[in-house]
Amino acid sequence: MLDKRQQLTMLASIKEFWSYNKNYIYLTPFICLIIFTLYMIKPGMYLNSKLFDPSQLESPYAVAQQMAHGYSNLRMLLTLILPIMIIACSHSYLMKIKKQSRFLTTPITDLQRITTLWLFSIGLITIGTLTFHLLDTVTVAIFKHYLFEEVQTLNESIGNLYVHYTDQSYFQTISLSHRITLGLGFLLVLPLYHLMYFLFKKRSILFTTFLYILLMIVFSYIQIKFLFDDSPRFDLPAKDWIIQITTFVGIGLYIVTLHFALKEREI
Amino acid sequence: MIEIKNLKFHYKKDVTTLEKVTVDIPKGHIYGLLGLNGCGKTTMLKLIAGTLFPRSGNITVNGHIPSDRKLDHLSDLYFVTDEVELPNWTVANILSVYAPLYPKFDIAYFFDILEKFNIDNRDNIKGLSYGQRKKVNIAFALASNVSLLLMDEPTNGLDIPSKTQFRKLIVQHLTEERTIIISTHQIRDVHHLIDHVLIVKKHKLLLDASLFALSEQFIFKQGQFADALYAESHMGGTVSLLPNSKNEDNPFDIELFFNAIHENPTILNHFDKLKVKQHAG
Repeated sequence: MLDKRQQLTMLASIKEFWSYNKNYIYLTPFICLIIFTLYMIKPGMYLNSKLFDPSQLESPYAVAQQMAHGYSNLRMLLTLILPIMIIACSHSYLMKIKKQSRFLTTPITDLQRITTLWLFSIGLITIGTLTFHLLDTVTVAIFKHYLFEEVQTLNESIGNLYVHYTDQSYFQTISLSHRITLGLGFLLVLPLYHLMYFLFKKRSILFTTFLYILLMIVFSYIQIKFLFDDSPRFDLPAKDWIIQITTFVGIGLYIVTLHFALKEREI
Repeated sequence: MIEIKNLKFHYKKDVTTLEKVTVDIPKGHIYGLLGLNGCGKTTMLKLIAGTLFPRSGNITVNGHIPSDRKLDHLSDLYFVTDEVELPNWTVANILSVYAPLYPKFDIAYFFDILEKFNIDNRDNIKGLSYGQRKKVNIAFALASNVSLLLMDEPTNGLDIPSKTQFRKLIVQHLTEERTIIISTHQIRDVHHLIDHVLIVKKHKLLLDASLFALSEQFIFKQGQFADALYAESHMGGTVSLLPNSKNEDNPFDIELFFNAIHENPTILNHFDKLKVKQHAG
């Protein structure tokens, strides 16, 4: 547990980060709303046709088609704005940590600063994920309220009695668990970004991307070659162990490398 | 107490920034760190603060190794850099975030200094001039009541009344438990404060001496003298640097002395009985 002094400095670290980035954090739900709205009115979407080209929806079958597939699960990609926002907010903070004498001589430890960054990233991903889920839920509720019966009647009239709506439909939300999984995926990129920022003087985002792609290729190869191989080379517990050990080794390497990268930096 | 032993530092391997620097800086003094541009003054302050690491040699500050950047060390030191790196928040916000990090921080004193500097704590740093931002930083540094205050060109950008205020505040700040190191080119702003000088030349510590010891050895007189070690002509006439053979009392002119030994470092070598520590390389 943290002693009183550590609690004080940790709190100061959070207050410092908050003071630097509170506007970004306040804006997150609004940015999500704007991006979601733009997505909803992009060409090919129901609302775009309704507002700008109603002739496309004159046929009831066109409406039914739109309702079944037009929402598209590509809307999951909207959440990509969250890692972009995290990097935008972290960038100036990390730059100060890296380049300002003031930051290096302020009595806040590097570990506390990195913990603050993680707390912020987790917070921002949570806010963004919940905002997108809320917008999705409200949208589906509205479409269900106004169009579900009409589309159902139409489907029944052509003999489709048991229509299953997937998450591509305006009548089905993307499950929260899928969104959380994606959010956790974003958090996986974060350690790489932190490391690259301190290990390379320039182009840290580029190096992060390269390293991430490289890691994805290596992990995919390992998965395909060993873990999902049906041959009896590994039994199931062995596969679990490999995943757990790899995770712990990855986390350990991250902490050690970042610790030294921060400890050894000079301004 | 700061102990520096055989300190060597370079940014690039083949370009030495500081070498063979050995000095003990006891508590209770105001040290003036003097030298030409690029001679390594700021680097030395950064090494003491722990933002740079010695390439060889050792530094300890009150028992701490600065490069470890332990909380105990950092919470007892404040580095007033030439570039004011305060965030663009209100002064009150800066206070609320950073003051708790310094256990001896005196909030009432901070407001008192701000008032003397004519700064409102509701002001936003973004809207302040360079000099005003510097004042906020100095006020924070002094109110933090740390044992070691490192100041790099602290009077840069200060207006004339503020320079006077600054001098008064520094004098009030000094106690037997505190050390202040001021690196500056504007020696006239601080020459009444300094009681000890460190002169860096060509990346080496040329001189480490108290003003008292120096004034026992050197004297400054108006006019030209045959035994003058150095002379400078001004609008008001010529001032000469002479050996203080009769042990006369006189105010020590740091700027003229700096110019003298900068032009001719062997001045120091002429004095066998010089009681000052020399590090002439």
